[in-house]
Amino acid sequence: MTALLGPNGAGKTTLLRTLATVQPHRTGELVIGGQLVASEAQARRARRQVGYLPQRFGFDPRMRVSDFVCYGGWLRGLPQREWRGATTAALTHVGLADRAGQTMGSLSGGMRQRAAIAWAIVGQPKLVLLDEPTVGLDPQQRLRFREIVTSLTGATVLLSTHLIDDVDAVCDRVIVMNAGRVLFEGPTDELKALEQASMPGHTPLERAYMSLLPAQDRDR
Amino acid sequence: MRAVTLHLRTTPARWAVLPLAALGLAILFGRSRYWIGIWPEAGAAAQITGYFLSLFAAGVSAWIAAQVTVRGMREQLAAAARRSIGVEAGRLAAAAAWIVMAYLVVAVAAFAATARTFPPGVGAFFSYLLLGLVPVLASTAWGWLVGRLLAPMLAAVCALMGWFVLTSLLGQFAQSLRISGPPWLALDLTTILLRLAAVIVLAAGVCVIPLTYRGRTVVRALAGPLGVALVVVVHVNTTLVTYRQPASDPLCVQGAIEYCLWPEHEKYIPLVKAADARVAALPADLPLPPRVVDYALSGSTVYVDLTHSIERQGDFPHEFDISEGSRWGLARGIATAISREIFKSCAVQAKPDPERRRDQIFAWLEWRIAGGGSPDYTTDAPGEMQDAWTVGRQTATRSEPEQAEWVNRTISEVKTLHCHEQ
Repeated sequence: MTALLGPNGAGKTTLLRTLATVQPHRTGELVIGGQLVASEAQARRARRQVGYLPQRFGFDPRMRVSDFVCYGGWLRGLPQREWRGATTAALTHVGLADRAGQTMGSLSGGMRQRAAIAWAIVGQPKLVLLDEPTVGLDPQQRLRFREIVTSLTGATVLLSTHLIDDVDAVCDRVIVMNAGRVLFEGPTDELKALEQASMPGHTPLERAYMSLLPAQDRDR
Repeated sequence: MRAVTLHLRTTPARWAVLPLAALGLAILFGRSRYWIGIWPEAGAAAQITGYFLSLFAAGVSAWIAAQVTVRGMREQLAAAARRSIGVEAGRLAAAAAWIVMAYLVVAVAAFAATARTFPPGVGAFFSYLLLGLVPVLASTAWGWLVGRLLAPMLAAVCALMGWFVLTSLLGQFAQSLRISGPPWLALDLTTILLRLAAVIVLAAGVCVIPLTYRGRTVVRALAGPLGVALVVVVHVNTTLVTYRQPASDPLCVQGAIEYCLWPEHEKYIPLVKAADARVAALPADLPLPPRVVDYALSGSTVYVDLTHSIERQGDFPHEFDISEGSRWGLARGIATAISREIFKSCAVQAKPDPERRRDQIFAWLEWRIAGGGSPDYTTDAPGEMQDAWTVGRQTATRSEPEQAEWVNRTISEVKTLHCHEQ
């Protein structure tokens, strides 16, 4: 579970979109699951292994929750025989199995977010990209979200956020970005060790994070 | 669950079926009812309803296509492992399937209404049904194209208006619709299939419009407009309607005169019999033609195509036009035939007849055979002719002896004063 931390405009979303192969990379090489992604065909193959939840995920409010998740599985290229099982598993994982027959529009904000996570994890992709998934959630919903994310086993999860609480609670690794560059990449505890008491923040992780940012970005 | 089921369950188009079907049924039965009981007319009625539905289908399709942007699903669809053309094709096909479903509800209603009597010529119904699919599918693809470019409400309005303008313009250069389905006309199945194929190419072209600005976007973005151009070109360069050869086994009714109809016009037999009863009630000394036939059934005209025909010389039976079940159309044809029989030997008028007695006789016959009332047609005939018709119709309301006396006198006057006996 890796957190992607950084101020607004750091390039977190750009990185996730690049990894989701939605946005082409201008320089360098993109390798997902050991496979080079340099063409549309390679990107399509890679996407089978990637569950992507964009910052603003979309849905038709009249669509049933199970159909919404199943459609996500179809888009990921899951074989037809796996749809039902994968949909049920994903909905069970996020605690929405009993809401499968409801419409997306009838769910609360937190439940919709969980349905969106089910969309991202249906079919058990090897890489799960979550872009700011806790924005707009109340504390109780955020706790529920953390439970769900920590229970995702067998997948590499890259969680973009600027809520350091979430990082501290669920992530074992952190990547700190600013202005498109990686400032830090390593275990969460290692980042905490960089804490400087003089930095603003309420927790060691917040102070460590602030210490990595250039002075002009700290004051934004 | 299959992919088809999944797409059908997830497209917003499923909510449009009931309103579209209800609208279609209202148009089908509200516009006219004469088509009930005649297969080609029933097919044409369903088909023209399909055109009206296609206007709304364009709007619905555009609205659904634009939902991707509004609902913020573009990013999710762009991240699909499936080919984007497959993703779009799935969405478009599902929307089209529900829209076609609404059209089929209309078609089934038209079929059921006519199947009660099951007259001959059911094949024509299906050819019109297939023709109706062309605007329904083409408008769905057109709407999708517009929806990929504009915001939903704007897209829906623009697609609807644009489709109306496009089809109106197309109607100037190509026959794409049939208002009615008379039995003497046949649709060219090859033309319909070619047009459907062009529509499928358009739909495919719409599906390749890229979701994201990646790859050969310009080339792919042109595919939709090129598809529209292809549909227009195919419509302009194909002939939809041809004249049928006169039926070899017409439906004939023997009465005072023999009446022969296209077999598809079976339901008009009671109308013909009623007219024949009125013909039989005419003064006994009036000469009657042996036979009158339905339009395009006499063989007097060889139709090359819709705009070219060759008139053949000879003794062909006179024709009547009973389209839309018009007793006045039938009466007009029979009255003309009887009038021609009365004045058979009166080839050339010796001098003009200011009272237009022949027109008086014709109007009298027409009124009698139609059974009275007001004609169901409008005319821009010269005033003197209309005055003569009024005289004839007024005479038809007098007593039988008075009418017989007037008819004999008028015919005699025409023959002696205003024509050369042959």
